[in-house]
This record gives sequence, C-alpha cells and structure tokens, in this order.
Amino acid sequence: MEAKLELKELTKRFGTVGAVSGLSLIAREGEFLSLVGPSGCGKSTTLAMIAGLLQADGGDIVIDKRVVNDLPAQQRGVGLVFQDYAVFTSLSVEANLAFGLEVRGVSRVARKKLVKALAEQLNLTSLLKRRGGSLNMSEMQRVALARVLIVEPKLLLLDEPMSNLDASVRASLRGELRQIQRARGQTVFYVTHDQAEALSMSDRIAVMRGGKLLQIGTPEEIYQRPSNRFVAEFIGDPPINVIACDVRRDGGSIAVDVPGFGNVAVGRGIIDEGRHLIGVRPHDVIVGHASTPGAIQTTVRFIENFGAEHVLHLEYLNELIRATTVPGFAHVGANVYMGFDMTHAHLIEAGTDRIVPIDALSPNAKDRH
Amino acid sequence: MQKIVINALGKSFDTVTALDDVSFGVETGQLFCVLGPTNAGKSTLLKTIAGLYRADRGEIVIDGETVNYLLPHERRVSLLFQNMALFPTLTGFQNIAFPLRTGGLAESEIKEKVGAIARLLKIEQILDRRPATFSGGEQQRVAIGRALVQPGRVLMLDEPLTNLDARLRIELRIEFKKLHKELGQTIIYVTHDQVEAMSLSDRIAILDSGRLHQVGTPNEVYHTPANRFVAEFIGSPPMNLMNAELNKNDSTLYAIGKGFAVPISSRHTALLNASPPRNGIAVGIRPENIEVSGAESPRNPIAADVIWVESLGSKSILSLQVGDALVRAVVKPTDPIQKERRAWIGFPLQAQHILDLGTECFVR
Repeated sequence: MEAKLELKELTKRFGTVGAVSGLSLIAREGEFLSLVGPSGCGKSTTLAMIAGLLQADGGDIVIDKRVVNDLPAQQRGVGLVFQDYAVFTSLSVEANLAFGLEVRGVSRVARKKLVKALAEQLNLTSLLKRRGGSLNMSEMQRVALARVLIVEPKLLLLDEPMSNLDASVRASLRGELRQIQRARGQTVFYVTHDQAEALSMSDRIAVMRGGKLLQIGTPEEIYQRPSNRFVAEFIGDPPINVIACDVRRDGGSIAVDVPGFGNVAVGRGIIDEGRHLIGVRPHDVIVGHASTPGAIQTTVRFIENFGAEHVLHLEYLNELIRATTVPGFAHVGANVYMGFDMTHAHLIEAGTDRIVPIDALSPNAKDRH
Repeated sequence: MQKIVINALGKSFDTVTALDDVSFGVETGQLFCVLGPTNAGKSTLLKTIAGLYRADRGEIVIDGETVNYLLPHERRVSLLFQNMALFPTLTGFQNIAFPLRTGGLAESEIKEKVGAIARLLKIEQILDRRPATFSGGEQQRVAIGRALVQPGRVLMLDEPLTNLDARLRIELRIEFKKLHKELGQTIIYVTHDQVEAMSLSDRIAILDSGRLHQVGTPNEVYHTPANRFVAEFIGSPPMNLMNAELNKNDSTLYAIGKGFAVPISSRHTALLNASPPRNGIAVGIRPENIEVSGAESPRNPIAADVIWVESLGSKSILSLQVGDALVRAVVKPTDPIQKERRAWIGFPLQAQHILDLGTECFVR
C-alpha cells in the first residue's frame, strides 16, 4: 500500500513546552490509523498540524507524496471533524449534509440521493427535516460527522468525534464508521483518548505520551506485545496488573519470583538481577476455589460486574489484583486461590519501564520456594 | 431501611413529560444508579429529588419524611453536577471544608474531616492549591470530596465521570467503588454508561423518556431484562434479538427465522402455550453465549457470514450475517475463526431469551 500521509520528525513547541517532539509515522492508503494517548499527550496538536490549522516548528507533513507544510488548510484535501461540531444551526439537517456537495457542484438530484443514502447508514433519516439548532449534542455530533463523510475526502482527520455521544450510540457508530470507511477505501487518521475505540476500529494504533510516539502496531501487537509499561497500562480494560517481582540470574537463564507466590516463571533474557515488575492481564490471573500449585489464598475485596464477565479485586499485600472471571464465580468476602498464567505476562524493567523480551517464559513448578 | 422512597413521581415542562409515574426505593448505604440515554429524564429526576424542581405529582420521602414541600437545603441531600463548580478563589481544602462551615464545627474538627476525605481520594498534596491548577481528575476528586464530607446526607451525582479521559474514568470508577465501601453513604448516581452502572451499583433503575423500564441488581437487569429496551441498552455489545415465527414440529416448538431454526426450551414452551404471543417473537441471545465454529455440526447448525471483526484485546467481537440480521458474537482473541469468511453458530438452549413482539416484554 502507498503512503497516504507521512509525518517526518514533526515538532511543535508552545513556549518552552514541547507539545510534539520528532514524531514520525506513516498512514497507508485506505488505512484506519488511530493516535491514542492521555489528555495533553500532543495527539490533537499533531492532527491540527496535519490539517493546516497549526504551523509545525520542525519536520515535514507529506500527503500523497507532496510536502504540504506551507499549503493552506483548504488546499490539503483533507476532511476534518472535531470534538466541537460544526453544524449550521439555521439550516435543516438535510441542507447541512447537502452543503458540501453543493459547493462542489454536485447536481440537485445526485445530492438528494447521496444525502438519503448516508442518512440511512448513520440513522439520521428521522432528523433530516429538523433545524441544526434544534438538535441535541449527540445528534449534532452525528450530523457533523455525516457532513464531512458525505464529500468523501480521501484523507479524513477525526479528533474525538464521538466524545459527546452516549456510550451506547458510540458503540454502534464505531461499526458504522468503520464500514463506511472500508467501503470507500478512505484513509482515516483518528485521534482518541479511548483505547477501546482505538482497539475496535483501527488497522493500526499509535500510542503517544508527552509529545512522543511510544509504539505503533496492529491492535493485537499493541495489546499482546506492548513495548513499555505505559502502553501496557494504557491499553486494556480492566487494566493490566503491575506487581513487584525479584529477578535472579544464572548464566543466560532468569527466574522471576513474586513475593508471596515464590517462583512464578523462568526464561532467558537480558535484565539485571534485583527488583523489577511483572505485568499480568486480569484474564491471566487464574482464580480457583481449591488450592493448586503456585496459587496463594486471598480474599475477594470487591467485584466489578460487567455482565458477561466479573472482575474480582483480590487482596494482595497492600494492593489489589484484578482477575476476570465468569459471572457468579465468587462473592465479596469469599476466600479463593489465585495464581498467574505467565505465558502472556510481561517483565518490566525497573527504572526504564521498558518491557524486556523474555524467551521461553514459562511457569516453573520445580523451583518453588 | 429505606433511605429514599420515590412514589409515582411526575414532572412536566410545558407539553413535555419529563418524568412519568416513576417509583423506586433506595436502601440506606446503597449505591443506586439511574441509567438511561440522553433526554431520559435522569437529571430532572435528581433535581426534583433535590428540590430544585417542584414535583407535579407523587411523593418524595427521605428518612421517612415527605420532603415535597421542603426547601433544597432542608432535604439532607447533596447534588453534584456534571460540571462541578468549585470556588475558584478558594483552595482545595477550603472548597471541601465549605459545607462544614455552617455547622458550627471547631476548626480542628473540620481539619480532621477534610484530611480524612482527602486521604481517601488521594488529593492531600493539592489541598493548598487553587482549582485553576488542578487537572480534570483532581477537580472531580475535590468536588466529590466536598459532596462526601457531610455524612448522613444522601449524595446524588449527575454523570460525575463523563467529561474525563477514558483511562481516568476507569481509574476513578474503581476508586469510587472502594470509597463507597469505606464510607457506606447512600448514593444516587446518574449515568448514560451501562458499564459504569453495572460495575458500580448495588441496584440499577433504567429510565427512558421519563419512564422506568426496570429496577434491579446488575445481575437481574443483565440476565433477566424486562423488555427490549433493557436488553439492548445493557451489555456491550448488546443482546442479539432476531425475529422469528413459532412452529410446532412433532412435539417440539421451534423458533424459525430467516436463516435459522432453533428449538425452544420446555420452560419457554410452557409459558408460550399459556399466553400465545400475537405478533410473533424474537429470539434473544447474548453475544458471549453464542457458540462459534468453523465447521457445521449439530451444536452449531446455523450458517453465518463473518462481516467484520473488532479486536478488543482480551476478546474479539464478530459481526455475523444470519439471514438478513446482523448477529454479534464474542470470541477469544486467538480464535482462528476471525480470519474466516464463513462460520457456523449455535444458540445454547439455556441461554435463550424469548421476546414477545406484541408486548415487547420477555416471556418469563
């Protein structure tokens, strides 16, 4: 696939604060690329620079192999939707949707047809006759999105376009947006703080923090093989458990001990001996009603009910460990046994927060204390 | 003991009915969620309980006393809005201490109470600072602290986590639950987010267009939803509902829809025989209960096209075309079916729900 959008060492400072520092990435033609990170990580600033609303201090923005740094916003050929929607309040929803087509000289008949089709796809049909000003926030946001989608820009820049929507509307719109984008082969650059949104829609995800790109990869790569502690903790709900551990070395082999659990895994990797951390997803915390090798007894402090699954918060030293279980597995106050499935666990290097690749990380039943 | 009883509450604005015959009770120490979409009447309900709106009909009872004609400050409730208004010129400490100032407490007592709340909310380090220097999460914590500092009051929160980052929301949601366990206050919590409602509450009331659809524990509203609205509002993705006709073959009752036919459990058969539905039925099944396989088998007899796959890390959601309906199923992230075009699915008998399309209520 051709590169649709390329950022080369993109940099932006506000005063002495580096908002975006040397950001380089490529969005391929037809790709849905999400940029995720917490508030203030520089993701919206990045999008504003691509759109031409902010001037970059350094680096290049390349769209369709052309450096567009000095092109005004309207000549960059991008569609833009913000968190704060732009809808003409005095026009009907229908006229709002048709506006961009009219400007581009699309005939009246064709306009009508396109508006009708998109309205059906986005469940806006019942709103078409309403005035923009009479819509509620969630309706306005959907209309704003539709207004941009309808002119079929080849590169679509979206900045938290669903932030004002009800959770249930957001979930269904995710699928609709993805389908429309797929069907038209559009390239989407999507900015969000919501990791679930990014995971469910994207071909690839770029995780940003403090103006820097931390990792870029498919949703599976980002979730299963995070490169550092921040990515591991930012992606996934319920969040990953991060627990102190002690690493012992013997030649190229290492043994990972967790206080209370004893030795939980052995493997081969390059890391100093001493106190580090392991990251274990709640799905990989194994909870049972009977004692098993490697499991320790604990008490259920409280339970988060997610319907299809329940997350137990289990007492461990002065912390709580999250474990995903089927509904009805245990009640609050129950004594249960917990252990770790270490196959997908991560070893986090203390100080650097880097996730250290470990070969053949496996539970070791022989070496228990 | 019932801390709050709402009895046949009604409220209209001009021609718009905001609350229509709303009744429920909240036990002392419960965390009670009011869940519904935008414009359901959730905020109106809170404001009417707090006394900012006058009820047109019905009764509001707090601690055994009818409060319809009491002024807001006489009702012993605290209301925290979505946009929490902190006093910008006061420090974090002064903001939290504010409601205590009128109670004639000694300065040392105030200090102690504010300190205890701040410790729980992990905001001790910002107590000397002004709100302008707070992050979104810190503002929210201070506002919650100010509402929590008066024990004995009913705390009412209107979408307290809505404006926050997704990650912060997850964090605060868990902390909030811990906090409630420690303090044991009676809380009414309004949200549009079913995940928040499910994971936080002791009980949930589902409100839409001013009417209550169901009141129950998270398990009740999830596993035995009263009607279509509840089944489709709770759960992510929501329950699948597929229209079907009833058909008797030998002695077994079948639900037959476009692209599928499934036997109906003996329990449902008895209920359907007792009161036959007039407009047909829909078969309901939660996405996590659908069995998905790459090959046809007696367990998985229904052919489905895999339309698209959403990866959520710990699981994947398949959107499947069955007949003319879109069915969603949850599978493991490693399930090879995600790469296939065709799947075979089954609906386990014990996981089926049957919706009467005449009444839009589930057959139970």
